[in-house]
Amino acid sequence: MTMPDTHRQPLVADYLSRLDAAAYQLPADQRAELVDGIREHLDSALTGVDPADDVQVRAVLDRLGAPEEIVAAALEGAPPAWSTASSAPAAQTGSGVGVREIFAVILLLIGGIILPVIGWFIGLVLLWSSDRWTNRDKIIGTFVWPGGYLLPVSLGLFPAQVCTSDSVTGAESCSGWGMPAWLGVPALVVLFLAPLAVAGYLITRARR
Amino acid sequence: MEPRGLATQLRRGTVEYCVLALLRDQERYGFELVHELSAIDGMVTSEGTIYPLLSRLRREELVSTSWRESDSGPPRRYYRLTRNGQRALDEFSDEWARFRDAVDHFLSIGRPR
Repeated sequence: MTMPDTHRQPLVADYLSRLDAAAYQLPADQRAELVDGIREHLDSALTGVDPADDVQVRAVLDRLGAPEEIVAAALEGAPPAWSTASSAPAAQTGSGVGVREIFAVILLLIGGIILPVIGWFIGLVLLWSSDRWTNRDKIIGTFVWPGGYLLPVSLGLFPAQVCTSDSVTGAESCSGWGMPAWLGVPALVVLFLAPLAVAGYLITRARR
Repeated sequence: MEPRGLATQLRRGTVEYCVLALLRDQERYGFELVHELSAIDGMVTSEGTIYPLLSRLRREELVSTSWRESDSGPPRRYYRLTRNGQRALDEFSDEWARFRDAVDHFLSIGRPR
């Protein structure tokens, strides 16, 4: 990948650290958004530029303007950090995890149980209609596991194998088939943990 | 007032509508927007200041963003005009036409035709 090389270029690294330092006055999500935006800009602007060519790199950075100037523009357009949370809750919408994203993750997990099958599909629609996730995130969210917890829960509650022991002879007879415990237990654990891990992953991705 | 200050005054409050106009027909990513704006002389002095502007437009829900994989490197944030953004752009376009005509009217007074 070319990206980390770009950001390791001394002038670029210095610029980005100055920007990040200056941006401390911004709310955390705006600070991250700003630094990410400038990083992305530099990736594009420095494509085809020789990292050793300080003159060209400096020209790209000069066109961006001083980090302090960019942060000043951000402060000008927004109320100060300490007042955003209390006085302008509306300003928070659209960034990070919104109601849609939270409902999507919850419904993908247990929607299929609350409202059999349909609940999960509603979660799926919310997942795919959100702009907070890339297609890759959405595919992961869709396939681990289709139906969410509906499948592992029904497997856990209704084992395919039913065993009864005879009270007189003590002999145990089983109907149906079952996985041996050494395989079945880990499989069930994976079935239960994977959706949780994916839920955590989706929330993290949405918060960027 | 010095000319540079004047240009800054004029840009303030209008650049954001130029951004919205660039998004009228298509989604674009940050660098693309900056590139288009800088291509016209006098619209942007420091390219980096466009990013806080984009952030504000997103928070005001005039644009929405989505992450899309790029051919080279990490995903990019794409900007798209929302319904609110479309409305704001339409309102500005009307207002701007009236304002421009009004200013032109006064500037032309007393000038030889």
